[in-house]
Amino acid sequence: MRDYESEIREAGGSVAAVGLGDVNYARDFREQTGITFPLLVDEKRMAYKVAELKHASLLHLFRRRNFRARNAAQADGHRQYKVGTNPFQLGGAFVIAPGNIELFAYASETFGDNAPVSEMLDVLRRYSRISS
Amino acid sequence: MTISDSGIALDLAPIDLPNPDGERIILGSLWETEPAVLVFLRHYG
Repeated sequence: MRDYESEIREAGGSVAAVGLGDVNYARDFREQTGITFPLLVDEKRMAYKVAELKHASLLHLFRRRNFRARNAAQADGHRQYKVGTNPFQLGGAFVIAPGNIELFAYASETFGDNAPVSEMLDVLRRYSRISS
Repeated sequence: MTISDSGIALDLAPIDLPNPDGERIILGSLWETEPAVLVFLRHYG
């Protein structure tokens, strides 16, 4: 997501991330990547549960999509740091506007299934036009 | 634009979580004045 932060800003939004693990994991990650947007730690997965995000199983590891996603991420220069305490917890993304208005929601179905950034940018741009 | 009334945003808003410096941030404060993209990571990376 750090690759898209400036585009998200230009579209009128901000970025924040929630991760698993503990504060030390998060601190290492922040220092190694140099991210400047808020990074929060959800050790007990409270927000993950409220967000109704899914879990993978061992079988997901062997799906072709997982291999493809991993290869693509490595080719782009990304590396996986630490998976935290629950390696089968899947991620997701939301775009939320003032007033707790949910503009976009995406729950990953398996490893390597990430929210389409182009759709989030579209949503932000449309919101920006409507609200200005 | 699809606006959902699932209530997830409303339920997320009061949750407070620590940042790497140990300061607790209320999620709702992230989108109080402008829309926020809130990403849930599967892993750090």
